Amino acid sequence: MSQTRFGRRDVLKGGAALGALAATGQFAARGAHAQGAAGTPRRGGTLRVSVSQRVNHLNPLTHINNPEYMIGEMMYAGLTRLAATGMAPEPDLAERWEATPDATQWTFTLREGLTFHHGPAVTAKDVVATFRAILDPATASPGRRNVGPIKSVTDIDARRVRFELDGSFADFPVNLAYSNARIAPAAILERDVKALDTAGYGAGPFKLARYEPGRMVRVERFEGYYNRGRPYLDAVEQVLYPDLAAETAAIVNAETDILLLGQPSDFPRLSRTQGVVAMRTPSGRFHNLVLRMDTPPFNDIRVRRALQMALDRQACLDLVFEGLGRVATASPISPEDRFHEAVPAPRRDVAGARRLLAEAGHPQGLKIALACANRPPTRTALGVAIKELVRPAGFDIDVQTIPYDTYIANIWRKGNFYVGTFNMQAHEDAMYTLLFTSDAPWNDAQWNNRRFDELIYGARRTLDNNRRKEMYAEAQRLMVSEVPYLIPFYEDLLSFRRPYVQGYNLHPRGGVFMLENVWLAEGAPRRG
Amino acid sequence: MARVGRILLRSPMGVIGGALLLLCLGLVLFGPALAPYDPTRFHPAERLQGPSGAFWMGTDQFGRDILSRVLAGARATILFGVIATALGTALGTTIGLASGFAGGRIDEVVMRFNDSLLAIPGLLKALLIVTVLGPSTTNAMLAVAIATAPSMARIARSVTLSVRARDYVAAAIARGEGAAFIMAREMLPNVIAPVIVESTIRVAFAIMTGATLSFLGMGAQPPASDWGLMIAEARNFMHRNPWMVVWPGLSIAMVAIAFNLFGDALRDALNPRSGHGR
Repeated sequence: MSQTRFGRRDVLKGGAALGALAATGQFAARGAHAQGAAGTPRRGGTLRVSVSQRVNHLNPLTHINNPEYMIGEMMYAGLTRLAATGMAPEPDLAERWEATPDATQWTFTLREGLTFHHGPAVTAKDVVATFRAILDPATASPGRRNVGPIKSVTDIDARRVRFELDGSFADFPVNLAYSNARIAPAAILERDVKALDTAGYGAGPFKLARYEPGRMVRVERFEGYYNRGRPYLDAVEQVLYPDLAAETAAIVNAETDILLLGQPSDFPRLSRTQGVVAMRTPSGRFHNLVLRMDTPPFNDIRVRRALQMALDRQACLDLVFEGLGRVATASPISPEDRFHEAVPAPRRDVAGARRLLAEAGHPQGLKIALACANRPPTRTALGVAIKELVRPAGFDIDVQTIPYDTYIANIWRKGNFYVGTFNMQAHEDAMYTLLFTSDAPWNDAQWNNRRFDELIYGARRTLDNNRRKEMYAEAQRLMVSEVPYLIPFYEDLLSFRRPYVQGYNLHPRGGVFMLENVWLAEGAPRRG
Repeated sequence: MARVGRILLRSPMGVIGGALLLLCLGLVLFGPALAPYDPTRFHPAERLQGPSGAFWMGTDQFGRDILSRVLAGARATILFGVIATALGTALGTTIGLASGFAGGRIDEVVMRFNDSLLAIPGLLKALLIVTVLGPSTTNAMLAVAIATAPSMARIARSVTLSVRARDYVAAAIARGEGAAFIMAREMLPNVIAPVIVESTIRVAFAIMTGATLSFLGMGAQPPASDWGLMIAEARNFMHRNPWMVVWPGLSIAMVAIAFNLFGDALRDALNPRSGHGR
């Protein structure tokens, strides 16, 4: 079989070029140096990072929130990962990859001498076992669709793995960088998957040192990491602060070095606080109202459109997010995305919304409960803001705050009207197949639109960029007119660090942290 | 009753406590009507402001008028504390009195069970109960009432034991009075004083527990202007506009002080040995 390097697409060129560099050993030297880092990186030290959401377990295949992604990324490595500043794929455990010209068959070659933290070598068999586990519905991995249209995965030899795809897919290496696609040992996956919940079997830059559920996770440098010289830090501690005021106080008092997910309400104050550096970067991350379409009242498109017409997006952004973001349409594809289409949001028209609601059979208005998890607190704030903003149109929204854990267990993907929040994804396909296609694992609006599915799966198989752009544009217009979600605004990512923390950047993707590049400069406190 | 009132009026604590309680009563009756603005109305251009001529207590993160919210929330907040405590006190006192009067093995069993309930912290107990009943303001009230009952039962029972040994109780038994009559007429008046003092302190506790339940999504729901919920919501904005915490906080403190002062004065007035009014 003739295998050529697939170079038709920009993103792949980037990946292939990096792959070539890595193959000649230059990649490690080049390294993705963090911008703005002052001076030469220093080794050593313990970094303490605070989070406000709980890490429920350590199995990277089923992680669902940012604190979990951070742990998964430190303990495990994937075949590819996203570049430090963008959405281009770069080599991780795989040093290079090739595709057939039609991009249906991909071969990934592992680096030489890779080992897991507990000793055994990382082989193609482990890669195969990992992807079979992710694709197995029984695993319930959110990455099941997100890793790409994989038909089969086989090992060619100890270092090479072949993926057969269900049709062409040029962005496949980007999908393999998904947060759940982390390579775990075949022996563990096949014998005792549960072991992954509480112990560490990865090949990432840090190995597990201590896991106290509901309190903290401590990882320490893995000396056998393939990227020599990384990580710089001896150890990273992720500490849970269920109380947001306490979390903020901790970074102000230098008890912690990074506050991972900053709240907009803290941003204006902490920007002016001595000893804290406030970080902000535009992203496609969003809060959304899920309007579940297979149950009343949102099975009626007029109700969804009325709600969309009644909404004042700029007011939502200002009241809930301190204006730290940009107004959005109903589409989850932000201006940061490659194929973003500027679909105009419907103008606010309260009288029109009221009429539409009456037409839909609610002339007296519609009373409905909106569930809001208490973390992040902006969910409830958004609920309260929307309640007030859409009231003149006849919506009587009853805001119900519930603990985050209860939300995850009882409301998310079950309720018919709630506030969700999602990270930006690496590209359009990843977003759509995570949340919106009929077979998406997190298809919480139950939109199930055939035309939309055709567009998404068609675009996936299309190698012509212009044609693809058209298809994604139609998909975006479809979402704005059908309103499976209400997305009032795209958020800027916010985070806080102490000035001595170097090499820490906010990645627009949201769940990517790259703590292996972080080092501690002069003035960092000594921690155990 | 008139005697008790006279004694109360003679004690400064009683006068202040009574005056504050009257203020509370006024708030419960007229608070929502006095609000200058709709308590849920946004004023987006005037978010997070301190007190001013237009907004006497300032505004919150949505630009809602804090004064209007405090006034509107008074009825729900105060009534929550009073009703929950009253229910809990009635339940606890009945159990404690009956158990102490019955004595022997019954007392032993009831009180050991009561002790095991006491071992669970109040808030956790309330949380457990409201989780079973489902989240709402009414259920939160019931939960706080049930969570209050065990400690009230303890107090009522300990006083009952000392009262039960008194001659007038023995006399009533000798007269052949029924158990219910003895408990209600002979013992209760002598048991009630410490129970009332405790319950007045408990009102503040009940308001705070209710607020905590609201905070956890198990009680009042936003955008309700429940004082505890207002504090919970204000915490994220505390550094930018401290008034958001100060006003509902002061309001809760005022209610707590009112009930405490009045309760203390009432105890003195009800205590036959306190030397007043003879």
